[in-house]
Amino acid sequence: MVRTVPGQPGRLGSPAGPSSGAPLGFRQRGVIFTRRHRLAPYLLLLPSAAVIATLVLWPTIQIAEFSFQNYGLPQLAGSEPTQWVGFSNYSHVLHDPEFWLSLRLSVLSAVAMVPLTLIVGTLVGVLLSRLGRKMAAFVSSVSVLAWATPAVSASVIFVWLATPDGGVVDWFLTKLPPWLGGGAHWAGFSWTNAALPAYALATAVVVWTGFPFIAVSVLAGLRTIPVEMFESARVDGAGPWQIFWRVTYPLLRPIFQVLFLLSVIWDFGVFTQVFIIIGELGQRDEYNLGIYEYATAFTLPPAYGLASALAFILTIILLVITVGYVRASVREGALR
Amino acid sequence: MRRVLSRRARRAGLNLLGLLVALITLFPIFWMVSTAFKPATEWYSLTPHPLPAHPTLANFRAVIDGSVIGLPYWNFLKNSLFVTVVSVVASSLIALLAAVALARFRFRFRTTYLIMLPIVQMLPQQALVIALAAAGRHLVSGHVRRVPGQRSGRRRAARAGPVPHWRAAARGRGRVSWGAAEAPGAVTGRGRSTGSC
Repeated sequence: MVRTVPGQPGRLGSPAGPSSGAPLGFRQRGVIFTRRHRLAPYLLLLPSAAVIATLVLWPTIQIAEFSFQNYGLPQLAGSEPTQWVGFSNYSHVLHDPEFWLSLRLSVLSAVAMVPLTLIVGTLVGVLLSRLGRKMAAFVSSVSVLAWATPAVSASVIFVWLATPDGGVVDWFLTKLPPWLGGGAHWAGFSWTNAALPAYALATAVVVWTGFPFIAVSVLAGLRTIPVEMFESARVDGAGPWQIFWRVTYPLLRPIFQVLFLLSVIWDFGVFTQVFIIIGELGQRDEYNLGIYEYATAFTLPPAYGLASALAFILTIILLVITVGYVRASVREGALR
Repeated sequence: MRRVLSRRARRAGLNLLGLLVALITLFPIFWMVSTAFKPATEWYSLTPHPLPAHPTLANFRAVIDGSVIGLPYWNFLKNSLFVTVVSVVASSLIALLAAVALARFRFRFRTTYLIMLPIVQMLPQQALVIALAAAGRHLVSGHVRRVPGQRSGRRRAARAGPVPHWRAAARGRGRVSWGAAEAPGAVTGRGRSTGSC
């Protein structure tokens, strides 16, 4: 083994060598070497570091490289040489109206999905904390069922519920009284043919599968707050609204921060649900950033260079959000 | 007396709310299960019926014997099982080792590693898949060459339809060098879970 890792010298856990006679076996010598140079943690981390390096770092470097090249099928097959094209992939992307359209859809859908998931999840979490034992167990196990539904199945179910020919959603909306927005014009309404209804449906799927995680996290946080806090607030005359904003929220702020950033990262990069709802790659005006990038890379002719530039832009956006997430977790003490 | 009553009323109200949440959450799953037992004639109707009028197992039979897609259900189950088992076993082992290192030892790059994990986890899969797909093709191409000749006709036929050619290739490859095609997928799938140790 090559000593690339700076071991801390001195302070040996065991005597440096055998004091008497008998030669040591290979295994024993390895153990002593590891102890002496404090290699154990590095050896334990080696497999995961190797996996991260080959499956995350290397591909990231690759797409960074592709994004400055005209990488396509001929280059992959080796029949044509790869050429460096500078920033032309990036300038092509930034001058492409479809990029800005898809970026807008990504941002707007995250703006709808994140607060809705957080609000519904928090409300259910607070409700769970107030329910009796049996009822809480029932509601949370039902929620876990929604959470455990794979994204593909959930999207297919919701598309089916909202199908224009005899779906439950359209039927329900026609039965709704007009002052609630219902009416006959909902009959046969297609939820997948335009961006706005398609993303409304995607938001429903994301909230349905996403709120249980928020609810359970908030419930776990609520359990850490002593009951006396709420009681004394109540004695001081605080209502439920005040109790939430003056007691619960400040105490759970780190949890909410992490949940918020996680939701932003997940919902900004949402792919599967939207992919299924808009009918795979059917309508280009319904693409979000992830789907636009996917379509660029995997429809003929594949433009890996262009898609890599897109992927890199998406990665940088998410990285900026992730830095916020890491800072929040460091503040919360999760990385200690 | 009044306090007891109001407490009961509140209790009932909360339970009602809980029931409502459970019902709304369950509804899509209920609808999926109910539709699964409906015969084709009941799938579309102007007034939806919550329960099948003539419950049938025909849908399940069609899925299992493969008359829906042309491949039997077990094929897909096998793929999912393979990816799940390999990725769960591999990521658990690797994550266990990393967790022991991070929990039991204090060493120089510990904090760096801890900060790197969430960042790695957050990288968008769609971004990485480009490079991995390119690598996967190189990996798999060796196995594809080993596929007997008559299969290439099937591959060409699959490619003729309006499907992206990479998917046609995957489909045509399907049964023959299944393990080869799935291996990169399994490894890719576990890239995400590295951080969750």
